[in-house]
Amino acid sequence: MQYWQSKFSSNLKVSQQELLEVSTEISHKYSPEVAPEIPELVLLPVDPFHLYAYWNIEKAGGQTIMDHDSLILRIYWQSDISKQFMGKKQWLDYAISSYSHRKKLQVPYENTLYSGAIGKPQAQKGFLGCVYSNLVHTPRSGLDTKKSNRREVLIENIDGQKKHRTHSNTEACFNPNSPVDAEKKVKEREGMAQLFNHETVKLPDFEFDKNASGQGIG
Amino acid sequence: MHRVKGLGNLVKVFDFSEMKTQGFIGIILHAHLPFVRHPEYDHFFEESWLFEAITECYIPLIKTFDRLEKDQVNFRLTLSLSPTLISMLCDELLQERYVCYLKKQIELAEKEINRTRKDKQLHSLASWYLGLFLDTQKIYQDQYQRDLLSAFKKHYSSGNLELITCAATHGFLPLLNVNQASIRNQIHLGVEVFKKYFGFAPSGFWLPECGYYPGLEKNLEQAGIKYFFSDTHGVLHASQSPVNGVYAPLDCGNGITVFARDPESSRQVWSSQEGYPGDFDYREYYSDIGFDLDLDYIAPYILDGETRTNTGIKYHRVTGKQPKQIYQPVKAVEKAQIHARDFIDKRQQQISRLSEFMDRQPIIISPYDAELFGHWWFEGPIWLEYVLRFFDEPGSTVKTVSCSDYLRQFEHHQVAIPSASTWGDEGYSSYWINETNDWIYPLLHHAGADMEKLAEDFSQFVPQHSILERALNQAARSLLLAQASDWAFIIKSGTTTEYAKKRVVDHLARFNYLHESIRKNEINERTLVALEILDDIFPDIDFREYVVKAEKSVSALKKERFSP
Repeated sequence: MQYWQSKFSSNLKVSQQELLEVSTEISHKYSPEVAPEIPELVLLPVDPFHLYAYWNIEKAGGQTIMDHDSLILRIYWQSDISKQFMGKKQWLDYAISSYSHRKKLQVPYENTLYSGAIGKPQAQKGFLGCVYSNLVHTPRSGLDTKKSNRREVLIENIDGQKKHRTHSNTEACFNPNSPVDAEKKVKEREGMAQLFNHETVKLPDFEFDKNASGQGIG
Repeated sequence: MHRVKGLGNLVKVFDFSEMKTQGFIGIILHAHLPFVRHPEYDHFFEESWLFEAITECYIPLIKTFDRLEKDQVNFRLTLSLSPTLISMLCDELLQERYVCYLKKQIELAEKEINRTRKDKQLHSLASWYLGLFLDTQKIYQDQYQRDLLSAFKKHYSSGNLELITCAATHGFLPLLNVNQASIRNQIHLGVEVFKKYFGFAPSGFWLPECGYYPGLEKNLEQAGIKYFFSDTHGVLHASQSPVNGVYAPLDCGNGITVFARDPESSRQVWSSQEGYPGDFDYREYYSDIGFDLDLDYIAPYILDGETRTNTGIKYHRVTGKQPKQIYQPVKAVEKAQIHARDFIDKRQQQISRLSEFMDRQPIIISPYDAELFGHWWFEGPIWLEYVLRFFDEPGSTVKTVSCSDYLRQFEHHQVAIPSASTWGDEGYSSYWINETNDWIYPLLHHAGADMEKLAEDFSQFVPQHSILERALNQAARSLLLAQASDWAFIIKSGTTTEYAKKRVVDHLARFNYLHESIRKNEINERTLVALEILDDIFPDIDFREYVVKAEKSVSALKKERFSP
């Protein structure tokens, strides 16, 4: 039987068997669970057009102030581009079917600040929230919809033909010089083929979560 | 005609006239493995990740550096050593177990020499493997006395290597920044571990998975870091267009500079389709006698005598078709030389084009996972050796430098904030948060918040060296070990998923146990000792670093705290 000496308590030795027993017992009894003491809604940026949200509102009084069916996850954005939508809604609503869950959300704008809230829609565009999220910022992508679409940068081509040139923001991320997995990126973005032929850039077609109401820019 | 030194005079190259250096290349190897150490078992399969990497990657790289130094080749290369790898390389239990592992490899190679005696090609290869393992044993035991960090330090001292580090347990920072103290400690502790083992502060920092988000540069600045790396699009999509593209660093606005990965040189080495490692003459990673031979024969050398695993003896080359042909080391070395020459030529052409219209000498940043060299790409270290030799040839217009060298030469850089990015699939965070592994993050964030609260509540009056302090420090270790990006990565990649899940759950369970014990003031010293032995890493950790809004610095708190 092998014994291990404590580095801090010179009189204490623990056997290999005891190490295994402690490890097993703690794993069994203290397995982590998502049970926050206070209600929460947390957003995490995944990529330019996706967020991850997780929430737990069971202790927020969700069961008393609203029914399951009427719970809404509302995602707000704050972006220069949204100026063109002045006076229009700047959020998306997602139906919530559980008091505690996590969900990947598609969002409309890259390089944009987002926040969220869970609650119940009220009359005249009102919203009764019971929990609010942190603020997150989505990364820039090749789809820069906020600035000029032409940027002066140095891009090194393998064939060396193009030197200091003006190039489209949109090609930068997915151009043939992109890193290692460029092929994979290109393949996965085939639906954005316009990126490669310098055509006008459009926002990607949304395939919002089927529970989303899609009224954000309506 | 000029003979390149070493390598058995295999290489003959033309000696060009001396030319002015047109530009630079920074080759960065990021060496990292998650902390895997299981004293509760006599043998543990996942510990072989380290052992395989030592035999196939770290020692071959050290041999490369030693040969280059012996031949007086001038080279500069940056090596990032993660704190978990540093800790494992100097851990006595793992050192002892590696020696046993190596003995088994030698025993198997000897057995193979006997088994293959009627097949000339295989017999020759078996003998070659035996020589390789014996040489590895000699280097590990005799030359460096089991201390591979001393080998890297030696090459740092001689000016060949720039050593940098990484986050403490390779936490994926973009998804941990719900807890600011977690970010701060991943960086701060990483730097402290490095300083303890090497005796100096690192200038550079490898962000795990190149995971950057705006604002992170402030944490790096606080930790005394001068530069870090991002993926290509992180700089291309910076707040201001990078006028020099990815061929000069950006100043993030606080004096911390960011260097971006060059896509072309990356692809030549990394790409599974067009990269060098897929050449038909190179050794086939997936052909191993642990999977190919009779179970009865191979049983003593694989996991628990039943589960087939790699043994490190592989007889076939990539070939490109079935059946796989026998590996020929000499031919593979020749191919590595050709590929090195190709790499050099392309970099010189690239630099030549770039230098025509840049306002300064360009730098090509070529970062790779160190474990690619030797482990995945068996001939990688020899390829690297040729590359470094060729760059030092008279007439070479491209010189190898570290980022610190470059920053010393050019003081002023365009100011811009990089965009959030990673070097993972799709370029952002989706590999580390998706339907397979998203369950990890609420748990990590809650534990992170609990740790911050513990630090806030206890930092000012916990007696030094008390059981309570030890329990708090151990809780911090548990949290850090759960935060490793490796677990989410493995779960997504679908390899040893059960082990990765268990590691996350086990560390968080240990954290929960300690949290409850501390809050209830019911710390069982015997259990605490067991946990300290199980997760024996970061001996100098201080839980007080998790204080979020400390009015005073941590060092001030240390001075003030009560000592019995």
